[in-house]
Amino acid sequence: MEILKFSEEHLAFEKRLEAFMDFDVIPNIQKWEKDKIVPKSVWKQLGENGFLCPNLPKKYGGTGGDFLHSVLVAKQLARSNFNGLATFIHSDIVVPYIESYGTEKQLNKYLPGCVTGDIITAVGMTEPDSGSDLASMNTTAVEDGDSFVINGTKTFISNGVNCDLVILAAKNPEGENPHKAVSLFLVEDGTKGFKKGKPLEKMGWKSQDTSELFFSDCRIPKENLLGSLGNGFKMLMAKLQQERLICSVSAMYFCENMLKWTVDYLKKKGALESQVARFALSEMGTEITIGKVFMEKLVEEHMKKESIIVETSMGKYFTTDLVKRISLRCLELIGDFGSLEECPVARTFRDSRITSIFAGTNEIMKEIIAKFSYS
Amino acid sequence: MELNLTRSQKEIQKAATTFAKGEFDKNLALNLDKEGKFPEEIWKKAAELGLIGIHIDGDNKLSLVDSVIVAQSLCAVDSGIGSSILSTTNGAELLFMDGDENFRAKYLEPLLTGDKICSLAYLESEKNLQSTNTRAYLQDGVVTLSGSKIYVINADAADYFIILCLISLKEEPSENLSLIVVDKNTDGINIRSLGEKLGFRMNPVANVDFSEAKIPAANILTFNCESKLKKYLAIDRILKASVAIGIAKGAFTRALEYTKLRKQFGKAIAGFQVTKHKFADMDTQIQSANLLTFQAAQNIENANFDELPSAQALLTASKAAVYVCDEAVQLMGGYGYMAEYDVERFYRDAKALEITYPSSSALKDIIASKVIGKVK
Repeated sequence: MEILKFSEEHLAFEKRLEAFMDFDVIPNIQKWEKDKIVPKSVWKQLGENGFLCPNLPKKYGGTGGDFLHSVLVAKQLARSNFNGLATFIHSDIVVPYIESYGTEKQLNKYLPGCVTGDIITAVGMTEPDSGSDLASMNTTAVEDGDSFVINGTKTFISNGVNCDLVILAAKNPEGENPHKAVSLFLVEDGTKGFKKGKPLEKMGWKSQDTSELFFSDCRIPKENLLGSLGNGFKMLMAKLQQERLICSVSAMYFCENMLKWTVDYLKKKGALESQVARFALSEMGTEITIGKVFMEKLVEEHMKKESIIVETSMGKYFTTDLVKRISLRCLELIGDFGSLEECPVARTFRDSRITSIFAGTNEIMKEIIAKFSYS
Repeated sequence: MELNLTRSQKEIQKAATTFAKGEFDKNLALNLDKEGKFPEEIWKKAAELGLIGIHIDGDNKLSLVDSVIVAQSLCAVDSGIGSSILSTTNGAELLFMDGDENFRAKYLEPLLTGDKICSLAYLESEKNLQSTNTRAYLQDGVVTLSGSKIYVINADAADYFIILCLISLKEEPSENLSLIVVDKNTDGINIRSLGEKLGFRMNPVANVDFSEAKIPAANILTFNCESKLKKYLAIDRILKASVAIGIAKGAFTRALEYTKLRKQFGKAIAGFQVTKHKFADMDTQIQSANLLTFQAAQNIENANFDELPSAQALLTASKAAVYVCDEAVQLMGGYGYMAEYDVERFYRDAKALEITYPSSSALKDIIASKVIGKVK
């Protein structure tokens, strides 16, 4: 049932990544989860090994791979049962904005560092009062001479503490149409008036440094505008397809991983004698297989540069809801041991619960599906 | 919907809610959950007010509805603090039902006054109680106990355990299940922590090993306890269901407050049709669980210990709690995922309650055996 074809090179890449996860990541997960952050040095190690931005062209320091490399990164992170090192936010969500909309100068300035791990990126869209309703954002960017002056607060920003560069959505307060008032800006860490909050305490993704970002009369040069003025919304919408797709890819690998662990555990306990357990596993296995075929098909279409907004929204909704349901159900089958953090599915349950909320809530996915399909 | 509570029940409800709102500090709850610590001071205050073990604080009649009300009220304000202070009397119904005056004075009273913590150690296998291998023999007025118990709640904090074991009068093994009270400072007890938990983190759990622990014969609570244990388990299911309903109510209230204030697309989220229907489903589930639980508690007050109502109450309540908390997290979006907004913690607690003994699957076994009867 596999649709995606991985080359020898892809598989060699995955092997190297697998070893990296085994030696340099998995043994440290518990410590990082307590610290609420993954050290920046790990990003550099990832970069040195070619695991960051694996599909950037060679002229910007990349390895010239394709989206399947990103799929494999998601797969290995899921196998490690780890979301703290959310490199896909950097590699597959944020950096592509720069790659697609950056000027030659911006590309040369930032992309090589994004590949080496010297520049960790974040994207600032969500605000305390503006989540699903992105157009209601309050962060402003006002032109003043040769700069933009930014004021506002962003929240729930992944890589918020580690980030060296933020792609920030802000609007022109004079703009009448909110959809045409938003622009994207490149804000570097260390810019006066830009402060980061502490990592937020969350249900899961414990070592993913999610934080608030504060901008107070933060002045950036005009050349840090990304793309054209007032085009922010269009750019965000265009890039959300890949963002949502990678969520589906990750969710499906987490599903597979959880089911596999649960089957092994039940086998060891001799619990497969239970018909109820066997049916539950069969039902979950069926849903996961069907979901994965759909996910792989989406990846294939996406790589052909097809516009699959509706299908990607369907995928994001279905797979992130599925990963939550699978976690709930596996825990039920596991029983008492599932109530201990020692049980890996406990962490997956905590981690996966955010996926139906972030990258566009599943309620928004359903609105998109209905808008394009049933109106 | 309000159940027909008596005046004294309404007073208890009010007292418990007022106490919890005044004492359950939000930041304290977050820290205790994070550090896996027990809210000792609040527990003592709750006991002073008579909220701990309110159903076993009388002469001979279990006033279980009172405890249903207290558990719901406390857990609705804070799932973790509420459930953890109530857990200090874990197994104490057995002392109430079976203990003579000496037992009550020595082991039950200190629980009600907030001086001691008790923990029932009964599980040895995750599946059932039929696999008890902890054995004890009685000789010259001394019981020697050996074996291991798993998932013992508050094992570290407890002052004494009520142990389910097989006691033989001579050195020959007996197949009669019995209960014995064991002081924690008895030699031969080893407590092995099970580490961080998914939910109910204020109540650490541990495995407890007994190796030739010597206990005075006077501490034998019940010989041949099978029918007592069944009664106890029915009570326990009702108390757990009450905790679950409290958790669900707490998550419901928080989500409701949030969605009424939170505006997106120019409108409070509570005003969207899908949100409204979600709240309709959430409340319906809570009320269904509530009715079953009150009915089951009343049965027990009337000395009807039929297993069916309590099993159905807990099955419905724990499912309702997981469902309501899950929806609360979703409705509160990114905030729902943040510790500061409580519902993620309530959700973890609800899930832990649902999957730990007696799990939904075990409850369904009980229910099925009652509704189907024997199959040829």
